[in-house]
Amino acid sequence: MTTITSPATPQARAAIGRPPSPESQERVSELLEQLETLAASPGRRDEPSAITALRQEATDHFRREGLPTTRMEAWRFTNPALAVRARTRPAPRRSIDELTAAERGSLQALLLPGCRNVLVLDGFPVEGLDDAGFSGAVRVRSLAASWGQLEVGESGLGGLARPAGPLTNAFALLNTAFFADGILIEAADRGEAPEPIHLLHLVSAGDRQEDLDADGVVPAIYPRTLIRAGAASQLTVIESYASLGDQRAVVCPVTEIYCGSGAALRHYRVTRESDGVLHLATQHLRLERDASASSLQLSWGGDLVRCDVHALLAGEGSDCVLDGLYLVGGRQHFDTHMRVEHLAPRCNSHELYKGVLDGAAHGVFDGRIYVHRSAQKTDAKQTNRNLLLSDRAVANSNPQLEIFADDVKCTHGSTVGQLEPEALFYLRSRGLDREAARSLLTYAFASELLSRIAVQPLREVAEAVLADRLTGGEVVGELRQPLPAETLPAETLPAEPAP
Amino acid sequence: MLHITNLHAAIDGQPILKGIDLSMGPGEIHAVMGPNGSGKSTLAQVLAGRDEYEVTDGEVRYEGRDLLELPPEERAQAGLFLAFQYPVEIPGVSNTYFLKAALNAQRKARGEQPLDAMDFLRLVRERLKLVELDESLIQRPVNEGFSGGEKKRNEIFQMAVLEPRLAILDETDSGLDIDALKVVSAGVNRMRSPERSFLVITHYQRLLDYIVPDHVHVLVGGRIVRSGGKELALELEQRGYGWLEAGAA
Repeated sequence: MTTITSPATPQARAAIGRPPSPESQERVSELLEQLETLAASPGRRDEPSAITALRQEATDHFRREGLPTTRMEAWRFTNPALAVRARTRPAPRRSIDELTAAERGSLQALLLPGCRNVLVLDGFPVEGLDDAGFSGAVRVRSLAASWGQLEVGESGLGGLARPAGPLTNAFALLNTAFFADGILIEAADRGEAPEPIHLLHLVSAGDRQEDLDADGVVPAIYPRTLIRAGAASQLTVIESYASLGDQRAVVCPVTEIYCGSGAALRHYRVTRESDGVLHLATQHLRLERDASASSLQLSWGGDLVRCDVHALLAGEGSDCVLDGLYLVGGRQHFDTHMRVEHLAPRCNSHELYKGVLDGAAHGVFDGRIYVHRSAQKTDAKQTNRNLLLSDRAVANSNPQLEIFADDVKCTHGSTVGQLEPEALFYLRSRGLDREAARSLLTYAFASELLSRIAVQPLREVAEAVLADRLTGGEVVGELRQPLPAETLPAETLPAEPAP
Repeated sequence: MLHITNLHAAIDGQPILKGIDLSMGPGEIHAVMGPNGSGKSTLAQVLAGRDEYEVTDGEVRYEGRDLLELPPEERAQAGLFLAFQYPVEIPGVSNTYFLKAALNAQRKARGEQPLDAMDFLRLVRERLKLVELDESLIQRPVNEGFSGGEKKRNEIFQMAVLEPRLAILDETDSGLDIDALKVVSAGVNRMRSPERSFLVITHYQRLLDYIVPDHVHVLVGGRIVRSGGKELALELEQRGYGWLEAGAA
């Protein structure tokens, strides 16, 4: 494998010159103390040695690297101070029976009909997962329940999110060191999931919130997901991150996805947590020969959402689509750092990220496509488009290509702009008021990605959120009402619910 | 129905319209002709409410109201329609959905019930025939990937659905071949009624063979330099604009 630039090492940091702030050092010590206590706990002593070793490696790296600062290239536009300052304590396992009536209500509204909803409360799978109603071709289990048989490293847990690997970051290291349980989805070779699997990750600090607030400590949640799609398997996985209330929390998920030869995966990552949630995620994806994966990130929640996405096109002829749609306003901050690596010949990777930014929101897109020398006939395209609805919204966009093969087709592009006055006037001249015209054009901007959501109930949720965010949203509501199907050819309609 | 008095307008401080006077009654067709750069399209855009143009003097009254006071959508709701010279492409919004939203916004403003999907489709079908536009076209995103002629026909189709009382056609003939021109003209003629007026802006006389005007105005250098009957258009066809430009200078 060609050498890949490593993240800031102690040497690199020394070169930058300034030590981390006393506050940051204090937080690192606190987290390390928590980890020491955890390591001595009875639960941890029963873990397989491979997992203990993985955690130790992550802890050691974290001890050396510490928490990020804006002096690091990867954090230039996203100030990690919020996340660094937040004093956290790992959220404990909570039984679903402890949910309040209000939390149950929120939960009901978050379930996706037609999907297999798998609940994960504060990073812990809700019990009763085994034999999840699937035929055995696709199994959804709790990681902790699988410790004994779990493969670690290589093509298993920690194989992609290696503590020393590329795109590692402090929050991914903390996840590996801290996570207590998580979700394992395994599709057997040629296995097919009969319905989309919806992993519903819920933030619930419940009635403990007051205790936490008393000493200014917020719960830290470390959701861990491992998806292994066997050869020629087919499955759809939705990872949703949501809140059951308005509690503050720091959520640091790590997801590792392996797509075996010829596997076809559709993946969605939805961040819709409450204000006050800091979400710092890492997602790895590896594709073997002729595998295809499409991953769509939808984000509209949280104060800060940062997602590091890493895709490895390792097998010849593999095909990867990484899309994203972020709808942010107020003082929300959304950041995607993406690295797509083409290792094998004849692979495609296409990325389209679109942002709708209102208020004083800030969007960051930093994407890199690396085409290694071995990856001839690569077809790669990366695009980021930002629509600013307010003068105070900001977008930083930085798609980049690094190409070491000579026979490739690679393009990248980015735009940051406002609604076109010509288009606004055209709509208004037909009788739509200013707000309706703005809403319609904003909806049109986002619809390119909304239409790519193949899971109907999820698309409806995203459309409703968009319509709700737009001041003249009624016009969008009108647009979303399907015209009678028998009178119009179905393929020309914006997608509508199956009867 | 429309009374324009001493209308002056500028863009970026550059005066374009320098005192237009024009009056139209209900059911009349007026043609505005003129060479390139004479201010024809500016007149159309100012009447429709494009705010990039600054009205520096003069008045426009439409059905007794001060038109220039109204934002573009209220002009549309009051029955004014502009068929654009360069219709805008709007990817992501289907033509039908857009038109339904526009029609219902207008109906709402007039205190009428919105049309439901079935009634709307019935109306659309009927009006499509007027301009011989293929139904598949109107389910595509607004004007996206349309040929020049399809865009112009789409404008007339929109007009037919929205049923304005004053329609301004801004160089609707440009980019049309003779067959399309005949179709579009026939559509316009079938929309004629004693209550509906048309302001037809064109560079060429050819369109006026099919849409026969009651009055013809010649716009040169931001002013109407001559007005007359339909025979004025024929005279312009033979003599060009030179003799009037010389007079205006």
